[in-house]
Amino acid sequence: MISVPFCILVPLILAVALNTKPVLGKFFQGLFYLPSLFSISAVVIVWSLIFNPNYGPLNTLFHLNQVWTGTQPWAWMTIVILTVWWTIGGNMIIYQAALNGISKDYYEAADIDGASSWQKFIHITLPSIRGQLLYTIVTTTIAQFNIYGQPLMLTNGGPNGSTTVLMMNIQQNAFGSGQSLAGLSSAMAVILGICITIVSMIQLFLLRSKD
Amino acid sequence: MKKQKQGVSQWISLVFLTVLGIIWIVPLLYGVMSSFKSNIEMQSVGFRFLPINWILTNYTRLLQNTANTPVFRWFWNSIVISGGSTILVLVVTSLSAFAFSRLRFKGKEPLFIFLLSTMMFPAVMNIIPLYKIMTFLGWANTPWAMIFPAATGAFNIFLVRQFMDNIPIAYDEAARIDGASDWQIFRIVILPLIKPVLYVVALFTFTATWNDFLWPSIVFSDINKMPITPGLKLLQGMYVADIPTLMAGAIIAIIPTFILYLVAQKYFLQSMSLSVGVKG
Repeated sequence: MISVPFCILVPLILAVALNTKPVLGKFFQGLFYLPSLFSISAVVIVWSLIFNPNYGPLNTLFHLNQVWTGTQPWAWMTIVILTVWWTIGGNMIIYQAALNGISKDYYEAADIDGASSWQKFIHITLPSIRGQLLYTIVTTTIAQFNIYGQPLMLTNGGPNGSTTVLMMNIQQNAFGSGQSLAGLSSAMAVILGICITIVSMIQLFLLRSKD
Repeated sequence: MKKQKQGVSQWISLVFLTVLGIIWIVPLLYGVMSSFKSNIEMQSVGFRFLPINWILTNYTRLLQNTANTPVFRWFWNSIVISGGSTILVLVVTSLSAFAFSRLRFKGKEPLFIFLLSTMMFPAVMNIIPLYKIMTFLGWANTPWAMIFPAATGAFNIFLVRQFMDNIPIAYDEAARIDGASDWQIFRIVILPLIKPVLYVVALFTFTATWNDFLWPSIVFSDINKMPITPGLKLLQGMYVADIPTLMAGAIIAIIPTFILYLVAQKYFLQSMSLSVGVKG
């Protein structure tokens, strides 16, 4: 859940930067979108090397001795970093399309009135892409609720079960070893589904009522 | 004056993008490079980006070990499953979108709204009932367990119908006057025109099926039948101490989507804006 603000902000900044149309813009766009096309299990394996306490570049390069995925709060941070790396591409493309659609006239009018870049961003850019922001916030939050592969393969729910997420519980109860508790799992899945629906309703309501 | 200011912000953006771009690409490249290192080198040398000795044994080891981790079998399974889903999705969505867009039948609109309302339920709620259905049909551990659920995606139908609605009805009428049947109108008039959106749907379906992790790891228990994403989980357990081989496995798993992306980048980027254009 912590990763939601990052998954909104990082791609937004990227899209604004790309919108100034620097050289190699297309290349960077492709680069940032690339990870979202990889399967989560492959992504986790690559990152588990980066965070590997003994041979991982993070520790060997900076001469640290940190067990990244085995201690808190680092375990959460690794999951957040991986999630941001993996998922920002889609949101970035959405923002880019939105920024492209803003009429240049607004900015020129603001220039005449002597508005600073920051004022322009707050008063013109953000309101203009409100619809897309709303959409991405809701979809990103829903995606975070369904997070499964990252904690399962990167931290295995640890240390001491602190990164175990609901999806892992559901899967364990229904299909794990021992007696199958499919009924319990179904109930959990339904509750999770209702939670997701309620949260997205609240978000929609809050963001709508702002104007 | 204004031009100059534009130039400055472009430079700031470029520096910022380069820094972040390096952060983005390095883990991936490091993973690729590590797959060519030997395990001993990995453990003894410390930080080094390029391998000292380039070796391929990690890949050949994966090729040979077919008992516990049949990586190339998984790869083939993934191709069958993703390819099968894509074909089925294309057939189902284009035909049903045609029905919803062009044909007249009783209860068309209520049926379409019903179809859309299935998208409201989060996917989590489906998993256990779906599993029960699959075991009941005896489809667990077969490619059908992944191919059929993929074909029921309402969003694709919605997307294609939206696209079809923008094709002038006059084209159909002209064909009808010439004596074309519904099927001929679909084949000769509509199908060529909706190609762009079908590319998008196909790419979406293929990558989504290829990358799906939760559902296949539930429905496949037979090691020889599973696709590569849950397979990598087993691989991770198998080669805990042999990181380069693990990397080789991960690289194999991302190659197909990577190639697809290189070939069809335009459509991928288009597809994102398409999907938000309809929803947002």
